Amino acid sequence: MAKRDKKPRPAPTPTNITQPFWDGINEHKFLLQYDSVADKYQFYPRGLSVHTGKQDLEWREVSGKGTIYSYTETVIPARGFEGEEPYMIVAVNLEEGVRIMSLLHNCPNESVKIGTPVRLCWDKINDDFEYFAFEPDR
Amino acid sequence: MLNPLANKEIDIIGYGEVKNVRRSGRSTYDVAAEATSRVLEYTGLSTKDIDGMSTVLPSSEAGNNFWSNYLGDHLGLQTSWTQTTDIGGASMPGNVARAAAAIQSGYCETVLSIAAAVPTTRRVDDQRSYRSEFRNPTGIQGPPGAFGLIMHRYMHEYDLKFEALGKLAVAQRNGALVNDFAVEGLRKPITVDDYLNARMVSTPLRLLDSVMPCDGGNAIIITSTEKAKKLGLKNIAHPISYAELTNFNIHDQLPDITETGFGVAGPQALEKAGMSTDDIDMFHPYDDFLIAEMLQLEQIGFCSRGEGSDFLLSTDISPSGTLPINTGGGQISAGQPGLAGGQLNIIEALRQLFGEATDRQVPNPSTAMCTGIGVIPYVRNWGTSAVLILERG
Repeated sequence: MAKRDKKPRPAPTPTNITQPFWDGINEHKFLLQYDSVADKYQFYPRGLSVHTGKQDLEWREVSGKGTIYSYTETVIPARGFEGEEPYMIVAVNLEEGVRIMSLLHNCPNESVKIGTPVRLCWDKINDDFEYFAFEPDR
Repeated sequence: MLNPLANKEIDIIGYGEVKNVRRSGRSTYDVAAEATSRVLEYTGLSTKDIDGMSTVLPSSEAGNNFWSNYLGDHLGLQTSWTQTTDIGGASMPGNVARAAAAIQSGYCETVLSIAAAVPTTRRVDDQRSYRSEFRNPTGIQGPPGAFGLIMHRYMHEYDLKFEALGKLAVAQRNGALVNDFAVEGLRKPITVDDYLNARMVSTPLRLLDSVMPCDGGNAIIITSTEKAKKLGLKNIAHPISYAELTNFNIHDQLPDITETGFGVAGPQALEKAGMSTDDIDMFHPYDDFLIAEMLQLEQIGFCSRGEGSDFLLSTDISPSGTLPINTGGGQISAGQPGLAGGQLNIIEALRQLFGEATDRQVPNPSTAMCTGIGVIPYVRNWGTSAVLILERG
């Protein structure tokens, strides 16, 4: 993949809600919000539980393992991804019962299938910020 | 089921439309002024006859948290009821129901429902929450990427025939060819092969699956049937049923992304009207992407789940067919003037119901279904599903 001049890849601006999640990512820990009353996780991080409306959520470190629910190969790149195309975006159903979307690494685009087991991996956006991606769980 | 529109106390009495243009260089206010002037001319009313205003907050003015105030001031409107709705492409069908409720509650009598947007000239929107943290940094290509995910999942569960989407693309393009308000660059014929060979944006979604952004605007006037009678207007259409659903299935963290709020709002709107899909003479669905129209056909109940491809292939969807669809080109072939695009299908339905659609006129239609779709959530289906049924007065 030839790299052209490109705009910087967009980095998240953490809020007081999401700061613990991003702190975890930067320490290579994958944290999800857990509602102990409903016994359910949720993603993306919110100010309350979508299951019960209560705010007493706890952050739990989870496996980051799941399966591909759907995928799309990006042919016309998004801003900050110029020259990276074609790249694969996957929607992943995690073992913990939430769905997460990100880039798929270390896997030829043509071999991507719904149902393929994947695991979380790390993806440096810039010197200061780590993001998360997925790779095949072989 | 309670239906405040059942008694046909509310009329839409006219429409005004501004030509879709890419990078027009115009201000949102200028486009709004032209749309307003045109609908006033159509109905013979003046700004002093308007006492209510509903609108949508467009990306070209999204930094202004006094948008209704500024817009009403610019247009010279003194109003006793004012409403900005911000549920994306569902805002303008939503405003028909909101204006009707306001008129029936006595807050106002005559509403200008106005949409204007110039996203190819100016964009000042800034969406935070999941979008800035969990969508943009992944590199997903915005709405085309989200619909690429929906299409691949649909293909996993059902049979998707791309020639059916191609047929829909061609039918809508034929509408744009005879629609003077369509973006000029889109007024060229296409074939099913052109669709099939179009460049991929985010697989399996092609360029010809998608809308073309542009600048534009439109307006309608909604009033009581009593007032319309006093005015002696001959072109009237009643909104006879409306249903809306936002955040369908929000408590499910692993929702089926092929499933939308239309599975609820579609049957509800039909039940409220005492109708079945057979009673709908024309379908004017919100069309950000072709697959969205197919999902609506299935979930509103024109055909069964997974049968959308075969339904499209076996149905004449042209103006003279059994179910004409988006006869003016829809947003996909006439252009998407940002969130003002959410009222284009209502304008086209009115033009048809009033017998003013010239070269694309549906023979003597008496009913139309228009829909609206709002926002792309985080790895779910779309956020708002809205269904409006109109009947010629």
